[in-house]
This record gives sequence, C-alpha cells and structure tokens, in this order.
Amino acid sequence: MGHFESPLREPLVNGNKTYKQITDDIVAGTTGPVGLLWLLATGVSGLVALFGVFCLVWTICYGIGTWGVNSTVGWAWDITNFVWWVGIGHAGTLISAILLLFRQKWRTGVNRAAEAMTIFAVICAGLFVMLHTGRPWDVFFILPYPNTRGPLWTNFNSPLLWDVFAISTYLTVSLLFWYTGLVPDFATIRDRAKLGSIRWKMYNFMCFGWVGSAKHWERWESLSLILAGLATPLVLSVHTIVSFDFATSIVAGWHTTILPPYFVAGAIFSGFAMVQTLMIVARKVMKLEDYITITHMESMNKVILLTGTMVGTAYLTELFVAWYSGSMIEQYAFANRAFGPYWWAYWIMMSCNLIFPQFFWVKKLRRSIYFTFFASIIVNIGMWFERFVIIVTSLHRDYLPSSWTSYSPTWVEIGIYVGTMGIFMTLFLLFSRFFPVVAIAEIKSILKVSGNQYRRDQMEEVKEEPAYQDADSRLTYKID
Amino acid sequence: MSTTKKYLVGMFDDDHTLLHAVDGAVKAGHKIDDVFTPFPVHGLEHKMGLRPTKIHTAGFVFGLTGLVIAFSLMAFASAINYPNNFGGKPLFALPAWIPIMFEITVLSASTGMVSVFYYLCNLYPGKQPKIIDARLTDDMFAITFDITKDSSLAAGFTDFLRHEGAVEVFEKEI
Amino acid sequence: MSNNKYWQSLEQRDETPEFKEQAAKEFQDEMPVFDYVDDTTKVESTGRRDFLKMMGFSISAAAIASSCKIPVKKAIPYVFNLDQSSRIPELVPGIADYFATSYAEGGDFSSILVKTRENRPIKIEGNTAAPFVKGGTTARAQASVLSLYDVARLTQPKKKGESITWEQADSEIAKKLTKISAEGGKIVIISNTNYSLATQKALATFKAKYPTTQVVTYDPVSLYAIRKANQITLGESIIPTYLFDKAKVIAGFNCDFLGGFVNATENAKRYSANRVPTKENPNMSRHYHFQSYVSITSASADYKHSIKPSQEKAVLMALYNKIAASTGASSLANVTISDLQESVNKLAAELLANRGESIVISGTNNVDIQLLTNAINAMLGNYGSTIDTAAALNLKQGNDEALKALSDDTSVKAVLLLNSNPVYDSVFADKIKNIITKAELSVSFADRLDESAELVQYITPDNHYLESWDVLEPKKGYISFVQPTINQLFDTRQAFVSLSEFAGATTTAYDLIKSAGEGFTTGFIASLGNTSWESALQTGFINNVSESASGSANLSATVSAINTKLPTSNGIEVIFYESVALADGKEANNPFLQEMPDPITRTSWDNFIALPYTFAINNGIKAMSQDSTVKTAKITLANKEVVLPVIISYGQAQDTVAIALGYGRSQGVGPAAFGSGQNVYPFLTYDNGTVSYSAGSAAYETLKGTHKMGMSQRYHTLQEDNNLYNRPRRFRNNIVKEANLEQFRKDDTAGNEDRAKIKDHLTTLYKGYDSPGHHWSMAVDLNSCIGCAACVISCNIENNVPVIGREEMSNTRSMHWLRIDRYYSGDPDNPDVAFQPLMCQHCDNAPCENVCPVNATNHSSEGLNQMAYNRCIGTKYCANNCPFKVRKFNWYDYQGNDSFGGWNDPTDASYMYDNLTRMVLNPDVTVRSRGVIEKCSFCVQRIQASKLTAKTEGRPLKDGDVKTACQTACPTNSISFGDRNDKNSEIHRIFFDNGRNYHLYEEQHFMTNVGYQVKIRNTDEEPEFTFVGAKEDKA
Repeated sequence: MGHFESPLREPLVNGNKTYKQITDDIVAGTTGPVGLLWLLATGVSGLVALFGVFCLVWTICYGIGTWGVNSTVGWAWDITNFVWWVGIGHAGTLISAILLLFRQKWRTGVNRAAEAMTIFAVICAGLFVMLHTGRPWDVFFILPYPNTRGPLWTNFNSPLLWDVFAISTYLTVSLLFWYTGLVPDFATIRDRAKLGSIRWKMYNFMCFGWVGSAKHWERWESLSLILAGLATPLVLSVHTIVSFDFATSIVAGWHTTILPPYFVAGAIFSGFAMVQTLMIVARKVMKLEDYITITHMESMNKVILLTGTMVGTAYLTELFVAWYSGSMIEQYAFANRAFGPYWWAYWIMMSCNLIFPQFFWVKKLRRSIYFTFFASIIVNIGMWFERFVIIVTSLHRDYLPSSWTSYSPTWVEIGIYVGTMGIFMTLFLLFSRFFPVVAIAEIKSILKVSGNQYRRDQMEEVKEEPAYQDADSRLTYKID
Repeated sequence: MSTTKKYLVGMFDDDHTLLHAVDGAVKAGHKIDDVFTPFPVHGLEHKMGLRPTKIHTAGFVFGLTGLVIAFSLMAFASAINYPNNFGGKPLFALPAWIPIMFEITVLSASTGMVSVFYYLCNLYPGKQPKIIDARLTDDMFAITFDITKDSSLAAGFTDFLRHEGAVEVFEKEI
Repeated sequence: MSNNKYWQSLEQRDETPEFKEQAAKEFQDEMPVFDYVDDTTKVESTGRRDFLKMMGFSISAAAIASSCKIPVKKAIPYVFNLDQSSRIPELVPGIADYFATSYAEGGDFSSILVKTRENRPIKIEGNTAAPFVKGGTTARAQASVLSLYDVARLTQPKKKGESITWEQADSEIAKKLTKISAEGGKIVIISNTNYSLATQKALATFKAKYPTTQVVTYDPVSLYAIRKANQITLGESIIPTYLFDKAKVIAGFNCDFLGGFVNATENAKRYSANRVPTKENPNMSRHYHFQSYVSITSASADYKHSIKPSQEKAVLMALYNKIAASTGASSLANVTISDLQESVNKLAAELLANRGESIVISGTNNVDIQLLTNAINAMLGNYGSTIDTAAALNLKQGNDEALKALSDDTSVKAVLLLNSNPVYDSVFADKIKNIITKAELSVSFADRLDESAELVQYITPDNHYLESWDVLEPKKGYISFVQPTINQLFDTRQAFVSLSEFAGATTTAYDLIKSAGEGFTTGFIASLGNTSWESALQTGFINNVSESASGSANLSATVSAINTKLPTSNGIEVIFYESVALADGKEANNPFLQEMPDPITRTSWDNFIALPYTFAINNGIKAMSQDSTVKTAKITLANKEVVLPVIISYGQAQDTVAIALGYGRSQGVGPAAFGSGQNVYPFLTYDNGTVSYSAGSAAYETLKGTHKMGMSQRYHTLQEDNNLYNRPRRFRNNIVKEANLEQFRKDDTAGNEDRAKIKDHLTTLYKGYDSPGHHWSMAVDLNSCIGCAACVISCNIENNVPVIGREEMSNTRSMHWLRIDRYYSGDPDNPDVAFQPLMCQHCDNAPCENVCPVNATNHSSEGLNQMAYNRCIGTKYCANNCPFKVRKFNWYDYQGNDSFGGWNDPTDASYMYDNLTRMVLNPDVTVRSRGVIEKCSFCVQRIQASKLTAKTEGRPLKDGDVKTACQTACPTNSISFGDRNDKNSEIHRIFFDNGRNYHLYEEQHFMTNVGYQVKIRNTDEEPEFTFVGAKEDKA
C-alpha cells in the first residue's frame, strides 16, 4: 500500500471529503447547465482564435513578407512563440511524470489539467513550426519518406529535423499518458449518467468500456509508471533539442553549450507559471479550492523559485563565458544584448526571470493567491522575452556590420501570436467543461493519506483499521 | 464473453475492509472471480495473488525495435543511399543521430505499450461493458464470485462476505 | 479431386505446335494496321511493337497539335537575312548567339556584345576585343537590355495622343515642314549629343530639303566649358582622352571620371591599370582628390580634401602659382586658401616630380576652372603624354550658348526633339516649353511619353538601340557599329529614318547606315586590307586611333584667358550631380537601376539631400536609422524649393549639400521612374556661357516629416550606439584589411600579417572532402574595385534576380545575390572609403548546409555551395546561420509566378509581372518561387556551358573558359574566377602566391572559396582605423 505520510504535513484535500463527495464535486463540473462565465470566456477566446486563423491564412496567401522579418533577422516572433509554447508545454508532463516517479502526492490535484495544458500548448507550438516555413504546403518534405524523386532523404544532421521528431514524439506520448489517465474517470462520469442516454454512450465510448477491474487497475498503474519513466527523459530531451537549434549554429549568442540545461530549466519555469495562472482561475471558476489548495501553489512556487534562479544563473554564466572566451564576436553579441538597441528586452527578461521570482523566498508571498497569480503572469512575460532576446538580438547584428538591421513585428505576426492564445484558451475551456479537470481516481487514492479528516484521526490516536472494527454493526443492513 | 454469467457480488464501502475481505477469501480458499474498485487500491493485486503484469517487457521490446529502425534508417539514408557533403561533415555522423534515435525509441516504446495495455484489458472504443453496479466507479468496492456453474456456493459466499463486512450482498446475472 | 484438363480449343487440347507458338506470344500477329499505314512505313510483318509505335506517334502528334498554343502569337520574329546575306546563323534553340553592337548614352559609351537566346536579347557583355573599354561596362549598359522590354515604350506614332499610321505622320509632318520652310520659318532640331554618322547623314538630307533648319545640341549634364577652354588651349573645341594608365599622379577636382563625367568606362579601365601593386612591380599611381560631394572617384582616391564648389577656383589658382613658380611661367594673383595650402603644396611638389606623368582634371562646367587645369597640365607637359588630344572624344558635344540663344528665340516655327527631353532636363526648360507649345509643328522622337513628348503634336517613336542599326564615332578614328539583335517589338522607326522620310528621302535604316558606314570607312577598309563591311560589322568596330598620344597646348593664350576673379561664397552651397545608377535620368524607368544601391550611401529608389556629417549632427539628424526611416528636409534656392529625404554622406564638404539629378519623372516615363525622388534640374543656372551645376546661398531646413528610404546598409558607418563602438572597429579590421604602399613594399603581406597565424591554428575533427576535379574559387581585389556596381546589375540580369521595390528595400530585403558593402574609417568629416563586393562565399565548411532539414542545399565536389530551389521549404535557418547574410529569401511572389494566382506581392513592386518584361529572363536560370531561399551560384550555368563546350571540342577546360557575370561586367578587372586546382590558373596564383589574399573570418574555419586582396592605399600615413562617428550616437 502507498507510503504513510507524516501527519505533520498539511492536507492536500481540504474539507471532510468522502469518496462520494469527491466524485460529485468533480463530476459536477461536467454536468448541469453551462455557466454564463464559461460561455462568455469561450466566446471571447473563440473569437480571438478566429482572428489568429485569419492572420494565419493571410500569411499563407501573401507570404512571410507580411511579417517584419528581413534578410538578416530571419526568425523573430515565429520561433520565439514556438519556443515559448513548447516551454509552457513542459509543466504538464513534468508534473505528472517526474512527480509520479518521486511519489509527490501533491501532483494529483493539478496533473490532469497540467497535462491538458501541455497538449494544447504543444499544438500551438506545432502551428508555428509549420507556419514559419516559406512554403507550408511543402512542409511534408521534412519527413524521411521513400519517394520517387529518389534517392532523396532529409538531413539527419539538422537540429530542425531533430525538433520535428522531438515535438511529434512529445505530443504523442503526452496524449497517450493523458488519455490513459482519463479512461477510469470517464467511466466514473459515465456511471453518473442515465444508463443508455446519449451522455452515457458518449462517455462509455471515451472510456473504452472501463469497469475498474482489479486486473485492469494493476496494469493501468504499471503502465502509468513506465510511461512516466519514459516521459521524464523525454521532457528533458525535448527542450534540449529545441535549444540545439541555437546551440549548434554559428551565430554568436546562440552558439553556447550552456543552452540545453538552461532551456530545460526555463521550460519548467514558464510551464509551472502557466499552470499557476490557469489553476488559480480554474479552482475559482470550477469551485475546486478543496482539491487545488494553497499547498499545491506553494509547492509549485518553490519549483518556480528554483528554476528561475537556475535560469538567472545561466544568464550570468553566459556573460562570463562571453568575456572569458576572448572572442570579439561573442563579447560583442552579449554587450549588444545588454546595451544595444534591444537593451529594454534584455532587462525585462532579467528582471522578470531572475529578480522577480526571488520574492518567493518569503513564505507569505509564496502562499498568497494574488501574488502568485501576478508572479505567474510576470514569469510568462519574462520567458517570452528571453526567447525574443536570444533570437533577435543575436541575429540582428552578427559577423558583417554591413548586414546589420533591426526588427519590429507587423500586425500579422502579433495577430497570429494572440490567436494561438485564443486557440489555447478555447481548447482549455472545452476541456474544463467536458473532461474531469482533476484526476478523480488518483485523488481518491490519496484521500486516506493526505485527506483532511483522516489527518485529524491520525493525529489523535493511531487506530488499526477503524472501518473494520465495527464491521459487524453493518450486518443489520438489508440485503436483496 | 457473449454467454452471460452469474455472480455473487459483495459490496464494500471502504477499501481497508475490502482488502481485509480479499485477504480472508484467499486464506479461506474461496476463488474470487474479480474485484472492482473506483481507484487503484494499493496491495490489492498482491492480496489477490495476481501475477505481476509483463507490460514493461513489451515496452522494452518495442523500444529496442524503434531504436534499431531509427539507427538503420539514418545510416542507410545518410551514409549509403544518399551520401552528400553537407558543410564538410562526415557521412556517418552518429553523434548527430542520437537525438532522433532516442525520440523514436521513446515513441515506439510508449505507443506499443499502450496498445498492448488496451489489448490485454480488451478495452476499445464503443465496447459494451458488464457493469455490476454503477457505484463501483464512485465510492463502492466489490468482490465477485462466479456461481454460474454451481449456484449452491452462493450461500457460503454470502455468509463469508457478510462476516467480512460487505454492506450489500446480491446475486447478479450479466 | 478430379484432374480434368480444361481446354478452350482442340488445338489447345492437342497442344499442336502452332498453338504453342501462338500461346508464347502475348498478342496475335498481323494486326490490321496496314489499312492506314502507307507503304513507306509498311514493313514485312507489322507486329505489336510496330502497332504501338504508330499508335504512340499518332497520339503524341495529336496531343502536340491540340495542346500547343499557336507559337506565332508570343514568339519574337527572327532577324533573318536582313541583307540577303547568311551572316546571322540559323537559330539553334538553347544555344546563345552573340552580336557585336554599341551602347551609347549620355557620357557613357562602350562597345558591347549582346547575348541572345532564341533571338531574344537577354544579356549585355563587354566586347573584350574592342579597344579602350576592353570589355568593361557600366551598370547602366548592363541594365539597358531591360529597357528594351519596357512597358512604358510607345508602340506606334501618335498625334496629340491619338494613334496614327506612319504614312499619315510622314505626310502631315512633311507637309507642315514644307509650308514652314517655304515661309522661311525657323525649324529647330533640339538634340542631345549624337555621334551617329547615320543621323548626321539624315540631318544633312533634312537640311538640304528644309534649309531653314537649325540643329541645337545640348547635354543634360554639360561639359561645354571643357570644349570652350580647349578652343583656347588647343585651338579646337574638343574633349581629349585622358590616359590615366600613363599617369603616376592624378589630381581630380570635383571630377567623377570613374562614374559620371565622360567616357567613364575607358577611364576606369585605364585608371585601374596602375592601381594594383604586385610583388614584382610594387607601384601604383597616387590619386589626390578635391571634392565637394562624395563620388566613387573621390572614394577611391588616396588623398581626399573637401572643398566648397566656390573654393575650387582658388585652390586651382594656388596650385597653378605653386607650379608656375618652379616652371617659370607667369603667376596669377595670389590667393589664400588657409588650411588647404599645405596639401596643395604637397600636391604641387609631387606633380612637379612627375612632369609628363600626371593629370590634373576637373569636371566643373566652368571655363576659368578648365583653363586653369589646362594651364597646369600644359606647364607639366602632360599634353601629348597623358592627355591625348588626337583621340578627341565626340561625346558631350552640348553647346550651352546655342541652347541659351535658342531659348531666347521667339521665331521658332517647328521644333523636332531628337533623342532629347529639354522640358525635363535642360536649364531653360520653361522657355523651351513655351517654344514647343507655341510652335506650328512640334515633333518628338521619344520612345516614351516623357515630359517633352507630352507637349508635342506628333510623336514618332524611335527604336530601342537593340532594335537599331547605326554607325557611331565616339572617338575620332574609332568607329563602332550598332546592329539589331531582335526585330523591332513595336511599330516604331529609327529617328534618322524618320528624319529622312520627312525630307522625302525614302530609305531603310540598313541602307542608310551601310552607306554612312562605307561612305566613312572606305579609307579604313583600304588601310585595313581586305576587311570587308561584313566582318567589320561582325567585329563591331573599326579602330584607327594611334596608340601614341599626341597634342600640344598654347600655355600663354590659356593663362591670359583666365579670369582670376574669385567667386564669392555665401550660405549653403548645393551641388547637383549625376548618380552612378541613373546619371542624367534617361534610364530612370529601369527598375534594376532604381533598385541599385548608391555605392556611397547605399540607398535606392530616391534621390536625397546628401549632408556633411557635422552639419547634419548640428541639425539634429541621426546617422543611423533603425528602420530605414529618415528625416526629410527642404532646400530653398532662388525662391525654388525641394523637399527630399536627408542622408549623411561622410566626406561631403561642410556647408554644402548634394542632390542627384535624373529623378522625379512624370507618369508617362514609366512605373519605376514615376514617384521616385524629385527633379532638381530646375535649380540649374546659366552663368556666363555655361550651365552651372552648383549654386550658393541656399537655405536648408530640417522638416518634421520622415521618409521610408530603400536602404541596403542601415549602418552608414561602423559606429555603434552607446559605448560599444570600439568593437565594430575591430570587426572592420578583419573584414577589410588595409595597408599603405610603403608597408606593402617592405612586406607583401602587409595588413594581412595575422593570416599566417590563423592558418597555423586551424584544425578540424573531420577529414573533410577534397575536390578531385575542379575547385571553383573567386578572388576580389579590393584595391582596384571602384564600387561602380556594374557587377551587381550584371548579376541581376544573368540570374533573374527579382526587383522588389522601395518598400521591400526599406525592409532590408534586398534580393541582390552580389552586393557591394561600403566601409568608412577615419575622420567622419572626410573618411577613407572601402568597397567590398560580397557574394556567397561558397564555404567548404558551409554553416548553412548542415542546418537545412530537407537537404535543399549541399556542397558539390567542385566546391560549389548548391541550392535545390524546388526542395527548399523556406525555414530560413540557413540564412540565419550564414555569417555573411548572402542568402536571400523570396518573401513575396516577386516574379508573378502563375501558381500563386492573384496573391502577388502586395507592395508596389510589380515590375516583373508583365510578360513583356519577363522576356528578359535568362532561360538557363530557374525563376525562384515564393518562399524559397536563393543565392549566388558562382554562375553555375556558365560553368556548365563551358564544360559542355570543352567536351564537344574534346579538350580539358582552360583557365578563363569560365567567366562569371560579375567578372565580365567589371570595368577594372577586380574579380577573378577559376579552378583553384589548376596550377597555372590566375586564381591559383592569387590564392597561393599573392600575399594580399585573405578570406573572411578565416579563423572561424568556414574555408570560404572567395578570397579578397588587401586594399593598398598610396599614402604616406599608415591607414588609421579610428572609427567613425561615435559622437553623434550620444546626440
């Protein structure tokens, strides 16, 4: 049986919950009339998404010329947004996988939503991979398929190709992991519906006819464990590979070996921040305060503090290495970052990612919902700027001063970026309406060790198995 | 599966009680047909004496296959079938292939494993489940005994279940 | 299980031998095809295969017949047997034919070859056989092939905007002319300089018919003062040939003899001849330049001094006095030129040290100044040694006084505008406008509805020169032919034919020029032995100019004629100059020229106000524009005013501004010309006998407004914002290496010392690839490069490089495969300039190649960095990873690719969408789709062609077989190309024996295949790298 937690730990499930209440609370989110707030939110984000799609179509019709990029700065918002979204996509799998391996029970409250977030974020990221190419309709060239032009293969030495494999693998594995977790909970929702009703049929279809047999549970558990085991190195690999896009190039400011660890840390950093943002809203809207507790937030804030500091250290290391390398180009690249035309971007990055998270040393702030929410927004802004700084400031002034230029976005680029946010939010809202936002089964499985009233019982005296003691009294129950 | 079976079902409202009951049943030599729980109850499988699943072995095999395929594809494409000079780099650039080899390994391992899981559990979209009781995905736990062949066993099981603290005991044909 | 044997026929059952034989065949013999096959194709037995053959033939025949458009519609008629001779070879599709002809425009002349494909002119090449220019061309000559396919050209004669037939035009004009001349009314033919013998013959005929005819010749940019001065000094009003190759010391005064002035191509050739020191002969000429604005000539000078136009006379007088003092000639009134005296003394000393081996030259259209230069040259004995008066130039014959007289003439009854547009580009535009509008008859031969043609009654459009016949005499004793390379596209007629038609002499262009040519060249033909007319035409020229220079000057007459009164200088002085791209503006509608970045300021599509550095800073102009947006300013001069964008031109003289002529054309001139810049011809003034191209007491005012300027190099200098400016300086030292002649004499690796160390440190993990066969490489000599950009345009035309327009240029999306970077160093008010042509460096360790996910770019075994356009998906990763940023991305559909339907470039740059314009495209080079990367290919199509030629001739490739487009266009032979593996190739010598050779960022181990040769300046001081303009960044 699951390990025994010290009674001194705070509960992860508040209020005196029974299994039934847990079920009802969470299933409630998917039943009953649609909330006005939900409709409004979905409507707005839907519109934003539509505008994004319009800009996207505009780009495909006219060409990337409609963006602000130029001969010197070939990548700008497109890849910035791509890396940003991928980074955000890292929290989900990280929370479910790594924390599952470490048996961190506090994950159960948030992993479901976090995984959903991962998937939606990666979808948005994938959009930019497609779109940043000049000929999106030919993008299938990037797959190594046997063809009649042959012999003709892709370049397996290109980090961009690694990216394609990394992102698609990441998306697939996250999806499998997420859905397999959802299956028993779909069954729970199904059984709350009227037998044979549309709703019943729908959820039965989605849960593949799950009934919760002990055998299935056993396999289910070991599957989750191994998937977690696989997903953990995967999470680390994905952003490492994304960082290779830059690290393996010769552009000063990209060509640094520190990039992989620093990107992974950054990804976790921004991912957790985004989870915070969404959770704080979700728990209020869906009334899940009892399942997504302050404790959850505090633990996540601790991770943010840690990774933020790691990222910050990386920034400083970069500066040192640039100076220490003695390479004129390197030194100039970083001097130009900090004091060149894009100095403001650099300092926004520095203050948001390195300085601001340091507030989380203060427990009071760590546990303040409002501050956490604010901080999570700040961190996401900071991380967006980190990618912008890395990409644009390195490119716009490189080896030959004759080709130095500058960059500023057009409405099309901005539209697409905002649009992906719309797409992301729409998907998330739909998810929150039709899917169990908290992993019902997993919460139940930790109720006894981390549930509130059980804690109290454990505090007062150590009973053997309370439920079993007065078993006989139950014999009076009617049987037929 | 098509033939219906007759079960004696004992419903429990607490996982600890359930565990105890299962333990008792096994000790008493009653052959449990299956146990249904709303969430994975730790240690249940041991008490039931189920043999540990081999699902991870499948994962390993699939992973290995993926690794081999990835490597051989890249080696064939870059070094044999389409040898080209790209930036003066060697044709057989093993280090550069590691990322893709890794990704493909993980991909095939996980997809393979998941399909094996659904195959073993015989779960698939649109399957018509045999639901003993709707509460089993909510807050109730059940032990079932197969009494299709010999319904005379029912009485004995019933007593046992009651003694073990079943909140309900009933027969169900499904 | 029964084993029944099933059978279809008894034969089968009995398995007769016939059956077996039949069964072995898939088809039955004896298909009934004989019915429709005639006896010729009839064979013994028409089997299956024959049947298929016939079927295949008939089907494909049917397909061709039904699917092909009727070719006549779009095909260009061939130029066949114009004189029933078989001179023109039968057309071989896919094989280029070359025709010798001549390019003549304003002060620019060169004998050229025209490359035609399927009898469609697509490229201009220099005629290497021709003397003087020796294969050199200018950017304008290169671009002129595009103006043949100009959509703005008139397609038939017009009368007040209405289209009419030639017969109607001829009869009506002839009638009016007869009437006017009968009444003794004055007929004036206003013409720009023409040295066409055919035209002169036609004019003679015309005059004979209409005796009241008067021909007035003028030039938009006039050098009348030189002719006037030479009338005094040499006794004849000529412009001599300046032999820069014979000069050890050159002193230029506001004379852009490499870009504008006259005969720039020959000048460049001669000038560069002794500007390249070698280990064997470490000598080069020393070039002093006193300029008011920065031209490419002043940019390549060794000693530069900024002077106001009003100072020039004083400086020259000071110089004269200095030299007169030691040559014993009578001296002129003393002048004080304060700070410049020192440099004048230095110059004087060196001139005296090199008597007869120096040139003093001024481009200023002022008689006194020209007399002064003549006098100085005379004292130095340069006439007959470095100045050849025998080989007088016939270019720039414009007579300012005649034009003045005409403008005041009110009795003009008929005006014919021959190859001229006086309403736009003459100093008396307004008066001539009146004359034209008042005249009873006004005719223009313009090929388009230009500013003057708008006003005339009749337009009888002239041919483009590539459709024309002509005999030119650009230089006394040098005949260069013009022959058609294509049948005329429209219903146009050569001007001189029209002239003779008006005079009632019916003739064809060919007959006329043949008679003109022969009439003139009989003497030659005799002297040249049996050189026949045909072969002369084939060679393209007849040269009878003696190699040895001759000429003598009358010093005393010259000196006594000099008016020593110095001009007064007050307020801001404005200089009006010919830009390298557009010159006087005749080619303004050529998008290639409009898009060609100005060599100095690197701007395109507009003219601008060039401001001196300090002046600009004091007027709150920032040197750097982060987004190509620049301030605009207003220049007020004699109550005329013009508003233009301002650009800092480092080296522009203090309190002066310069504005290029030739912009601001009317709509009729064409889409590219219209809306580009402002016309500043109206600011020109006529002052005692000559047109003045500078004016004093102007008012300058910086305006609030801004302008999006086409900018290819936003960082005008190497200055950097904030306090980082010392870094780019160090950048610069690695990119453009410099040394002075003294250092070079001591050590031929001067300025390049670090290379040895770099090469020692190079090491690699990979064994790499060797190039067993050829290893194509290019070398660019920074010393002889004058930045004239002929290579850029040549590259554009050869490789179908798209035109993208102002907006896209301002987005720094220039598509030029070859660009010329410009670097400054030294004092921002008078910096040293270095030009660096930059094309794909074809690195053997190319960073772009590894990162392409789809293998769209790879490396050939001959060292070429290749692009597979159709494989490219446009991730732009390669462009980002290219350290030289020579990879260009097709941001929009610039070429009107059909597959994009209507989704064309939303900016205004639709110059290539039209079928007529696209006739210029080179069929050997893929037209790139939207969304793919493109870049310099080392003209791989030319390499391939040469290989095939060598193969058919059964010989190995020799050095010089392959010449890239940029290389052939270069007037100074700065670009060498060849096979590095070939031990006795020029490129091999440069790469392995030339101490000046270096590669960009060699320490990064890109292993580039393009080498640059250190720039050697002939100065006493070592080149300084103190870097320009950190000051105003604080401002």
